[in-house]
Amino acid sequence: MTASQWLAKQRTVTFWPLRLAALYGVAEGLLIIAQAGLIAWLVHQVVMQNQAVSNLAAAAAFLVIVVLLRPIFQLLKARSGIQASQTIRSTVRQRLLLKAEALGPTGFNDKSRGELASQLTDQVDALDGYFARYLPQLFIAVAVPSAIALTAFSQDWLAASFLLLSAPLIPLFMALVGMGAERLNRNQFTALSRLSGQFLDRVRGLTTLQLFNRVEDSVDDIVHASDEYRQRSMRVLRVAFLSSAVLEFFASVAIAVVAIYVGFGLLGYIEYGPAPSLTLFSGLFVLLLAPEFFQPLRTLAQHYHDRAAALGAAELLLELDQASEPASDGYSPNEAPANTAQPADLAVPQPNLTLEAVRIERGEGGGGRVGGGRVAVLNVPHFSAQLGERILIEGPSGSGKTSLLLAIAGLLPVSGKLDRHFKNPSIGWLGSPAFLANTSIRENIRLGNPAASNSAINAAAQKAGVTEFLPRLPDGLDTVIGERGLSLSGGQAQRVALARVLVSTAPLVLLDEPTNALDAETEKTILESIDRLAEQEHLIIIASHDPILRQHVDRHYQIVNGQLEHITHV
Amino acid sequence: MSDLLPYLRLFMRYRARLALGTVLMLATAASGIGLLALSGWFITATAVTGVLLAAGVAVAFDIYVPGGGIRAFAVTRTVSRYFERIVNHDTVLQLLRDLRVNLFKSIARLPPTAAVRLRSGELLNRLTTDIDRLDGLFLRGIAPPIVAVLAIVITMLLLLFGSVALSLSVGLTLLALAGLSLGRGWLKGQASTSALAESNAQLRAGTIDHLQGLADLQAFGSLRHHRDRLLTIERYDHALNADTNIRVATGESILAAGLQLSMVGVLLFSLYLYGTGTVSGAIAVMMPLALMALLEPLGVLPAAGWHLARARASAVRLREDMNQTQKSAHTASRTDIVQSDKPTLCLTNIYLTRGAGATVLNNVSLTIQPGECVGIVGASGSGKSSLASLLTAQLTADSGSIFINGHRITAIAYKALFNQIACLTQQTDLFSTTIADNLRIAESGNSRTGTAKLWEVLEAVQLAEFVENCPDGLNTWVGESGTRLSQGQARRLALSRVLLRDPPAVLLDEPFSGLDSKTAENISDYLAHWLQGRTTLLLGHDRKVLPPADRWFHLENGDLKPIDS
Repeated sequence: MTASQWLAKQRTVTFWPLRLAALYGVAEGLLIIAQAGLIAWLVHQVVMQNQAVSNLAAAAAFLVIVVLLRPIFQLLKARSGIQASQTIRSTVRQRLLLKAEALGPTGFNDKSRGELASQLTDQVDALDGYFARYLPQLFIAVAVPSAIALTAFSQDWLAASFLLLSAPLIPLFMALVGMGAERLNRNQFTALSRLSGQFLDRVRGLTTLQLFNRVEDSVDDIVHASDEYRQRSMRVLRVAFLSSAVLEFFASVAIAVVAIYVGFGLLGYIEYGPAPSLTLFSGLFVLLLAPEFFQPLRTLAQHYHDRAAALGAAELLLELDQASEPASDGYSPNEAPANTAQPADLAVPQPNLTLEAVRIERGEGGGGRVGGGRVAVLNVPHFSAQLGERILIEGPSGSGKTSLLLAIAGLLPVSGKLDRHFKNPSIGWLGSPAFLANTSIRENIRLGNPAASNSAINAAAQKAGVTEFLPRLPDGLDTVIGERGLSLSGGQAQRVALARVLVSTAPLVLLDEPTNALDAETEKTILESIDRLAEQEHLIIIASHDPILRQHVDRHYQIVNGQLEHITHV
Repeated sequence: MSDLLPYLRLFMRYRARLALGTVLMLATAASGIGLLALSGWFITATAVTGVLLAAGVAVAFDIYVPGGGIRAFAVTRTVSRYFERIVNHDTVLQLLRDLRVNLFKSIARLPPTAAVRLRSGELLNRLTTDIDRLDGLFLRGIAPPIVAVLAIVITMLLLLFGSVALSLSVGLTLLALAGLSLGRGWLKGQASTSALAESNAQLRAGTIDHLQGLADLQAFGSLRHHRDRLLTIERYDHALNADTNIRVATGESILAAGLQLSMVGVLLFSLYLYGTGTVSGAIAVMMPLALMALLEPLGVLPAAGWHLARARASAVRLREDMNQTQKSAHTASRTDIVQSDKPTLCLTNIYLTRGAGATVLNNVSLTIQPGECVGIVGASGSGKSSLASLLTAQLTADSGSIFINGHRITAIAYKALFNQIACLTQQTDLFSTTIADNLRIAESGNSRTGTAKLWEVLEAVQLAEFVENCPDGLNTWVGESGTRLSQGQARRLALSRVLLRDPPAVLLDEPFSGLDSKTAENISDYLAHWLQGRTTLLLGHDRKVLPPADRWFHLENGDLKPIDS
């Protein structure tokens, strides 16, 4: 599918707004014809027929109504276009968001995550002008000039043919304008983005520039790059502007030719065709229509950059739209994992979690598949555990501890048998580094259990030691954190993430390096919480290389050469 | 408006070009008015004359002057529009350069402690948006009102054919209409622009959260909860956007209605004047047609008001961002010059807290003797990078002192400091330019490093082979619009920059992050040799993957403890 095909497909989600926008635009075009006719008629009556203006009140009133209706339709057109664009962008954004969710946490690496975020925000919004303005105008630019040409034809076929003569040229105009505008866009936008990229990476890398005492030279670089960009883009622009100048030229010349033809005709200098029967009414009518014939095309040309911007965005969005989702023998990461039916024989207690001959493939260093590179394999011949147990999985960094946790959580597709039998499908998760959303601490804790009451959140914050540093925050639990707010230290972030685990009702808790880089106090809180959760009949699985955790677990595994092995305590 | 003053002053530098651009814009508008008005006049005059001629009355009518005028206007409209675009775009591109240079100069004046903030994605994002908006300030915000006023004046001159009263009353009505449209756009823009920026930033942050926290959200089963939150933000953002767009469209409709009504008024009045014999039929037609042609120059005013409001908001935000960034820095005079082949680096009783009062460094003291190599290991987040930042004046400690060769670091001129110490920061900064230029950033002074030297440092970090195989060799463009380097390659390029610098003191923060163990080992061997005789601080999480050091320390919970060898 090409970008333009993809764009065309998106419009199908909304039917009426786009068509209404076009129809309102056409209605406005018809009103323009009526306005021109009424003006010409009034002038003719007064100037040629010597009627007093006061006798023409009805026509004047009619003209006022037409003149007032035009802006109303203009507004309706804009509103419908805006509505259409909004519906389409919302639909596209939601679909792509679900798509990103389906790709799963391992479906993209850090770099593509930034790109993905920009696709979901900026690129989707770049579609706005195309649907709100360009598409309706595309229809208007065909319909309205046709109606105007027909009207002009009814008045004076020769004058109309001056307009119509340019009609076969219209597709040519469009192509010209299109090519010009497209080239303009391609060149200008890529050059501009390169330029601002250069500017921004110098701002971003200012520290490095300072460390090398190179800040002053960078100013010269920016001047240099900008000037080069200016010269290059001016060369392109000089040509690109010609195409719109052609349209401008035809519009101007059409008015001039019609005016001169009509003038000569009225003087009786032209014996040929309909010219002798020209009146001030028909002549003025056609003259007033001449600029309006070209106006929709000129408007379309102005909206052409909307199309180019949308096409550019579509290319990127299309890529995401068509990205293949991971095929999984295990759980689909998209939905909450389903519970397998409990076996009938309840006499023998069944383990709650079983992995049998599980094979996990993952990108090197825990990265995503998108990142490419080598694929490492982790084999789990047998592993089972039940509520109330604390299990430690050790292994050097990069051996696949995190991947194993992701697989157990159903977030990484695996082959083999992976069964979870828990009444509650949700899972307590503490990643490394702890994830904090750009929102209040309260909302961050609530992510562990959206249904949690405020008092439950307060209790969890208390247990996780979040309340200890709350007095130093401006709004307590409602302080917004993250890049858009206050920054927390690693230990503080870990406590918030722990509170999230504690507020959750999940029976299975997965902790990834929970004691990494923590102060002694936070570490103590974490260890206490692990013990307490186990007492409260949770199954806790910890991936870590921190030996201190060995004293807080019941069983201990190690990843050796891509294989999970049980270690018996000495 | 005063917030835009610095930018208006910047424009003044180009007043001749801007004036030319404005004149050309005006010529375009005037030709448009002239074309339509003269054509109307011509048709009506010929119609009247034609009737007289047909009745056998001998009248003289000069068809050549108005005919020529019409043709001339048709041509001048096209030509002036074309050149207006060329001239104005050229000016805008020059302004764009000046805007960036000015902004960068004020950013460059920031002390290193403040520069660190600029790495934040959100601040950068804001900078880009704001500077883009200021780019359009002249063409979309300032020129349209000027042209509109001048076009109205031309129309008023044409209306003088009718009567002075007509000209004045219509002119004032039009000016009021134009002023109202612009003012309405400006006011509504003021009201919505900051809310729009905020909701947009929230949508972006929410989206990044959703992707970043996907594992957590899916595990906890709160994916839907967070998605709903995100979609609520999106709906709000869309509603705000739609509201703004509809407001602009409403402004345009109100303006169009006012203008068209004025046109009808002028039409009826001039026809009445014709009835009283005050004006000829041709003049009576010319006057309303002149008004009709005003739609083009006046139609953009509501959007112009909005652009002005947005540009102002951007100017304010830029200033605030700069002020805030500057505030985080102290401005003591730095005049000391250190110059030594083997400087001593000394930290005494350093305390450092960050975020909401969390202790990062707790009474840390360390002296690195001239030519000595000290290694510090610790988990990520244990404060190693803070040590590097302290030693390069990017951070100031809450208490304690740092001495470089006996000089207090707060008194050393930055230039002198950075000539002494080279630092491989934890974050790799590459610039979108060629590989050679990325390396040459490390040149000291104005001497241009020969390519042989460049190849030598690339060889040292085992990048030479890769660069040789690049189509443009050393001139291969890297970064956003060029070849993308892998994380490991970028790291090595940054490291080779430090090698090229050849400094007396070196700080290497996680030098081998992103490298496979074999490559890291090889480079480590080279570094072991290269670091001999340089005062060195190595930072990492595992001493096994770092070059050998004379002494090792462990940094944990803010405490620095020696490791026995």
